[in-house]
Amino acid sequence: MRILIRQQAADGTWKETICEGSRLTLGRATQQMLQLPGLMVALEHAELQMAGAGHYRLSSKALTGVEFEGRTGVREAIVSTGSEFVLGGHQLRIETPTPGFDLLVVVTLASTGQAVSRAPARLDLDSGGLSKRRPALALVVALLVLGLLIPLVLIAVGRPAMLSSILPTDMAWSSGPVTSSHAHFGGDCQACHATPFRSIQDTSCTSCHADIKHHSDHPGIGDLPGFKDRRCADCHQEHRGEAALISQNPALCTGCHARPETLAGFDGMPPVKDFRREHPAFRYTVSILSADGSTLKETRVKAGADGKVQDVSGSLFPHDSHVAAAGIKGPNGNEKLVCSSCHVADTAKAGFRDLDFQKHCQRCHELKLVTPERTLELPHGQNDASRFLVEMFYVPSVRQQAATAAASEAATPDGDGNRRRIGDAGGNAASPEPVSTGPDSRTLVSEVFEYQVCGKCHLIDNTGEHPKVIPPKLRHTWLPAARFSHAPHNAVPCSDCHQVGKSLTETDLNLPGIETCRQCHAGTHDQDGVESTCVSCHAMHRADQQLMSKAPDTAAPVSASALLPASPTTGAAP
Amino acid sequence: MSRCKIAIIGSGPAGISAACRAAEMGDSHVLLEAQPHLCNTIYRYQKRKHVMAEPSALPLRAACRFEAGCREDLLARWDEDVHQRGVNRRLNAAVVAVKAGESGFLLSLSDGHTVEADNVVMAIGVQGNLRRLGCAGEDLDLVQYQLDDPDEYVDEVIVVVGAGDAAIENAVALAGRNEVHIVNRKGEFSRSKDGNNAAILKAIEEGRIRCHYHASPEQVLASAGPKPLQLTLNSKDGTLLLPCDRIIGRLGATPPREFLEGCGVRFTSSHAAALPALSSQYESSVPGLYVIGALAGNPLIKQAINQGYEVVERIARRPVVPADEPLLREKLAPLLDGRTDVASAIEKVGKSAAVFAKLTALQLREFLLESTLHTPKAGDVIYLAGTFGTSMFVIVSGEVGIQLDETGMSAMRTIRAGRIFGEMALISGRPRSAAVMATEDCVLVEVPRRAMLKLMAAEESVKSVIDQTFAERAIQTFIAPEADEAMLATVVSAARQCVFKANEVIFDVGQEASDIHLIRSGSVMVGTAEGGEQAVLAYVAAGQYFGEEDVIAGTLRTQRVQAAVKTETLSIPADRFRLLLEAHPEIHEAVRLRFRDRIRQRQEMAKSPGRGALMHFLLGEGLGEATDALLIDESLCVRCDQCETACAATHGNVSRLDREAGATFEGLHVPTSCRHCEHPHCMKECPPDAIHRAPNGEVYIDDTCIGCGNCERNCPYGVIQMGVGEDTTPSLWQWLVLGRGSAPGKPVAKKANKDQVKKAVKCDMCRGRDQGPACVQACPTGAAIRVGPEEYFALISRGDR
Amino acid sequence: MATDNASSSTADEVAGHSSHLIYRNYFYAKVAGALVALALLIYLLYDPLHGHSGSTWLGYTLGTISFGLMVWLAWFGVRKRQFQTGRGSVRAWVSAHVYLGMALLVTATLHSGFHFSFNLHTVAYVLLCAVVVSGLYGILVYSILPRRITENRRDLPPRAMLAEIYRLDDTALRLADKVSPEIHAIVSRSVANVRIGGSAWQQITGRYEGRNDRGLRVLAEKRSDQLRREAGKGKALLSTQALDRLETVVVMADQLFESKQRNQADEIKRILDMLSQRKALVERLNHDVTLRARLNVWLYLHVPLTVGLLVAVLAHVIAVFYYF
Repeated sequence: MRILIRQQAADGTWKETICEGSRLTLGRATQQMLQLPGLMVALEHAELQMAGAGHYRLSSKALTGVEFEGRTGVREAIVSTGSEFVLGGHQLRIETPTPGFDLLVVVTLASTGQAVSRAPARLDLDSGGLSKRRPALALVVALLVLGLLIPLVLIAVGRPAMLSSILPTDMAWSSGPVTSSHAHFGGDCQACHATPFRSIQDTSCTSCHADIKHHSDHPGIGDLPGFKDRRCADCHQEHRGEAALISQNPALCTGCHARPETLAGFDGMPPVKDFRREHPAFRYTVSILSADGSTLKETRVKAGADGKVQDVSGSLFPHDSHVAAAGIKGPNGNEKLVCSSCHVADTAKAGFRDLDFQKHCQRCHELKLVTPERTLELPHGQNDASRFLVEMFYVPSVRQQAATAAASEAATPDGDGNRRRIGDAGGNAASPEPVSTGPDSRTLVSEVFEYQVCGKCHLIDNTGEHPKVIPPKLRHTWLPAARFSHAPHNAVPCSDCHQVGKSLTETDLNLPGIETCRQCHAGTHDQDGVESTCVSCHAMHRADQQLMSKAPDTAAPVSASALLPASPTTGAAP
Repeated sequence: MSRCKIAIIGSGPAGISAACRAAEMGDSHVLLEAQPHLCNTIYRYQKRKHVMAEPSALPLRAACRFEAGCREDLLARWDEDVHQRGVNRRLNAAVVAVKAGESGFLLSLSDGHTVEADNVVMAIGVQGNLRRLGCAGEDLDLVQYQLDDPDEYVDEVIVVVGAGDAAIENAVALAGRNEVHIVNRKGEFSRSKDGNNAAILKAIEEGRIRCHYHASPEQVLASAGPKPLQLTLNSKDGTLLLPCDRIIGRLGATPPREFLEGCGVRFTSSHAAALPALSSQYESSVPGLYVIGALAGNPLIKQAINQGYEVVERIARRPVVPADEPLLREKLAPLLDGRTDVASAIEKVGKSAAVFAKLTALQLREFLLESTLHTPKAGDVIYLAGTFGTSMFVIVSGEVGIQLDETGMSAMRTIRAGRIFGEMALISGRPRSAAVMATEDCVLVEVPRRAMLKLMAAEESVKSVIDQTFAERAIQTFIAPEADEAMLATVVSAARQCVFKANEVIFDVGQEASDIHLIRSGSVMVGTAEGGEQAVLAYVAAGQYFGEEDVIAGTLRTQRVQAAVKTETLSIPADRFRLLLEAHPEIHEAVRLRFRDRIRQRQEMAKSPGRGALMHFLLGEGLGEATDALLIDESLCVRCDQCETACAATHGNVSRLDREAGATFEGLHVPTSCRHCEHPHCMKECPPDAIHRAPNGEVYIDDTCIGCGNCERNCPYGVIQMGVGEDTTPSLWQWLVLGRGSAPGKPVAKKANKDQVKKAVKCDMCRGRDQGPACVQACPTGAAIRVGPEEYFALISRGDR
Repeated sequence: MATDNASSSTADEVAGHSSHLIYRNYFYAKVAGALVALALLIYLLYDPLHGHSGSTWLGYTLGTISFGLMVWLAWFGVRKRQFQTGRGSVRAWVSAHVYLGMALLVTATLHSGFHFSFNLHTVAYVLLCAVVVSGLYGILVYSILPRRITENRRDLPPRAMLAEIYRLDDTALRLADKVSPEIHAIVSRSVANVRIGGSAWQQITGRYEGRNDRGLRVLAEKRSDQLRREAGKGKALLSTQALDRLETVVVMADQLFESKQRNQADEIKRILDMLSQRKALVERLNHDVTLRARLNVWLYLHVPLTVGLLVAVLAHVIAVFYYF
């Protein structure tokens, strides 16, 4: 075949060589048809043979072979027009032969004449493919887009539901989980964060918590230093877990209450620093009898010097005799009562179930009037009905006063104070003594109310035209400003706190004093004891709770005797 | 057989200028040039080389044009001028002999012709004539006698003829890309530097260069074969045919001095740098024979051109005022009170001082042209101690005082008019040893270092005066401040000057302790020779003395003292030294103290040989002659190249230091950067005298550099490169953020444009930079430090690094 | 060396020679220490109503300080490149950078009040930690590797090594060319197969494609075959195990070629020497590359992460004040 070789000389001029032969031999030796300088070229390096139109077989004799299609050390290859290969630093290209030739080889890049031509060695990390700028840029873009742009855009356009799951939302900005009570807002940050770059306003809170009360009914409380232009969020912080939303930190209260004397509007308040170390004694909400003995009125008192508090509930119930160890006489013999006989924990509410006459009293205390002819049962809790029944009951018997007079002489009430059971027919027919003073229905009624039936357990109001029972005040709590639940205290026997066994008068309020609590409850400063912060007992402004009001209380604690009218026994003196 | 008034030999700038002027004025003349073209030296510059027109202050006066420009334009212009003026020139006319007869001169040319002339103007420069192959075919085109750019030739067969440094350098440069043969007449490369010798032998051993020993070219033929040339070598094993692409002859040149002396011209001294003795008219010792240009000691083109003009005027008896007259008038203003003219002023100066006694008017003139005149008032401080200053002062009138102690001007040694001062710094190359102030109004001539050295080389008398003064002052300053004149005289008279090459042993263990040495210049290492292996104990710098221990102790030498660099010492005989000590108890005391702590220090050093080795290494790296060198503690160096980048960034994006290059020893690295030598090698042979030393020591190159590359060649530490500084700094932020443009310290321009002149750049210790040297400031880990040898060796002997 | 305080301080006076770590006798270490101590003290003494967090006054203060520090520390990247305008020595800057950088980790952590969850703010914090940690690695290697590099180089800078390798290759090729085509072929392959340096990963791990002694082994095999033939008896002189270990090959080759009956023997011996020398050099150079890679690799984390951190913190600040 006829071969045309184009080769560039060192001075840059192109020179063409024409040669004939069955094959084209390439190498450094002088007898080679295409002579290539440079020591990386073997004397007889390679040869090109026809292999079909426009295709040639390239076979290398040298171990180094040629670089072809990115592979080094190629020994055998089929090259065609247009293909390039590197041989010992020389770059050769096969081109479409000009007419009259079968092969056109162009030596496009002659070796520099240096013995060895090499790829540049990669001797540092930069040439090794590392870069600082590119990753930095990537990081910047990623953070800006994912961390800032997309969330902002989503805030602006509102979040399409299906995207929000994939795209980063402003949830990525949340500094922590919201409390369960606000969890229902889900990812809707604007629910509270109404205006960007502006701290949360109270309106965001009050839109839901509309009927929230302030924590005191003190008129100028809003202007007190602790509260003046404070936002809800100052005390109630979200994204901080449950505890933070209602802060346990006593400082929130003691900030002001530790030094009330120094603050306007706190006049007369005792300082509060720590439940165990400095906390005023409990003030109980109790009832006392009005001066004319007609009604019970509510008041707040401190425990007396003896640590006892009197509460005139209106019902005369001596705890000591009822829970006496020996037991108490019941309809069928002696029976033993315990606290839970009457006080049944109310699972619905924090306290106990209401005491109920039918349930708790009636078994022993039946309201019966007994006469030879018939027995009469008075309805409980109905003054007028009872009075009417009594009047009706006595009319027929007026005629035969004389007949029963003698018998009545014998039946004098036993003066030993032993209470005779009401309605007990006894050995002799009941002949009401007052009758002897002249048969007059009014006296009969007051006789029944004050002595025979009602008066036995209730205080009676005699100020009116007719005597009537003063409705008793049986409270659920005497310490309204504190939250107390018996549930956590179940482990402790009742008597540890309520020493009913020792209560001598019916008016004894058997609630423990603060000292009793302090035996277990420490404040926040001491380690020995249940840590009790302010909010452990006191709730701040909650709609459903009574306010921490500073209602005026009776200056001195009242003694039990002053609370009651003359006892029925003394009153029975002729 | 022609006869003319003026025969001008050499068509360099001077020759052309002279010829043009002569032609202009119609003086009969002939311009003889050995080469087939004019102005061979510049013709041989590499293509498009920029030629400068320094000194810019000097006005040009000539009949031919000259301004700075590239080689081609320059040559073209001169050819044009020569043509227009109708200069009578003869090319290929090498003058082989000039005979002076009573009726003018007879010049015989290489081609056998002769020329007769009344006057001869020698303008042949200092390059001399290159020796030819000396065989048939030596003038063929492909036979060349210089090599501008080795990279021009690729894949050629090249024969280099010669065994000198030039030949070796060319051969080595060409090897690798070409097949190179070198032809050596002898059996070894004896005439070459050690470095070159090693290089060539290695190349030969590796087969990169084929060497033909004991061979000489017989003939060169242009052949029609594959190779254009065929060299016939005549070697000891018969003749050898060598087909090749080109032949490069590197056979050295015949120095012009031989030629001149052949013509009967007397030189001022035997010193190599000595100049022909010339009158102010450039007339040599041979009447009618004038020497101008580089050969007359004016390396710059403009000077040469002016001289060419002047010399013709003088020969033609036309009144001419030298071109430098206005400059001189300006300089000498204080001396000229209107009436006196420059000439008489110069004369006055010449008479004023002993140094100038033997100088010719011309020498004096040129010399004053380079120096400056000061007129300090009484009490003015001329220089302070510790500042670097290499100029020397001559007192024309008035008095100055040398401050002897730091305390104040109390102890003052007065120097009277006619005497010199500042010679100490000049000779030792070290900072001024003492402050000098004018004690009364005086007129001083400040002579720059180069002018002074030139003069000392030229005039024996000048040298002796200076050496004498130095000896007295040195002894007085460093050994015996209290010694009186008489005592000094006796010592000085006996003192002897010695010169030692680098590493030459000054004295060795066990020798007779016959004298002490006061170092004039250079520095020495004091050591022991235990186990033959050199261990350095101490480093003694110029201005100090050594060898006194044994003299005092009266023992034989207990140490070996070796010159760290080329060192000059003043050897004072032992007896005179003892005399001094006896005469002056206080001196005795002082010496005793020095003696004591020297012994102590040496014991310290002897304890840890490591330090000695380190010191030896550093001295080997040339710190001995350094005043401030950059060292890198490799245990801290994180190879971040901040130092280099900082250097480049602060110096037009061309770094002046190469961190990686340079030797390392025990983790202490001496990068390739300027050491600011005491006697900077770069300073010699700087045509525009562009290299200076600033008062605080840095050696810097100013803008007048013409990029000749002499300093680059002369620096033994290879710290000077030729580079083109850029004044644009790359934008940091653009690079930092976008990666656009070039990083700080990297050149902004994609490729340096050809027209820009490559100037010599070297470390200038960031002079004028209040942050100090950028390299040290930019080092993140504190690995890079700059230190002078003394403090550093002090550190080492203290055991720190 | 400036690694122990005593020497460095003296050296400091004379030559300004002390490492960045003990610059001015640990001045910045002390500054950073004081900052950290102060921050911790206040953090422990001060008990905010709702627990420590970024939104207490302490939190805001620490946040601001940390942010300032962060920006300043990042500015070092700019400062160290301000060769003209920069004030103060870079060494001082590095010293401060190192110690205040460590302090930043503390102040930022206290700023967070240890509230971490999957959000932007924690991302920023994690980035910060990554940056500081990479920096710590840097301090470590900067104090260890430089000596190792020096030891490995043995006064031969990489450039010189590379040049020497290339020179050896060229020379070997030239000699081989004189000997015989087959030797030349083998040598040229060996030369073509040299691998110096490599990808970043190879550089860091120090595992390079080791193809560079194959040609050498083949060469040795060839010679042994040849000698076997000459010896006439077919006993193998070379075990392949021996061939695997280059030094053995060289030693053996030397012995084999003691007999001078073949004039090529010498040449081949020299080629072998050169190639083995070359191999040793290549290994040394590669080791140097590895050491330098390990010395610098942290910067390829430190710098991008720092940039990222700055952006993350910016986003953090915006986000925090957007939902104030």
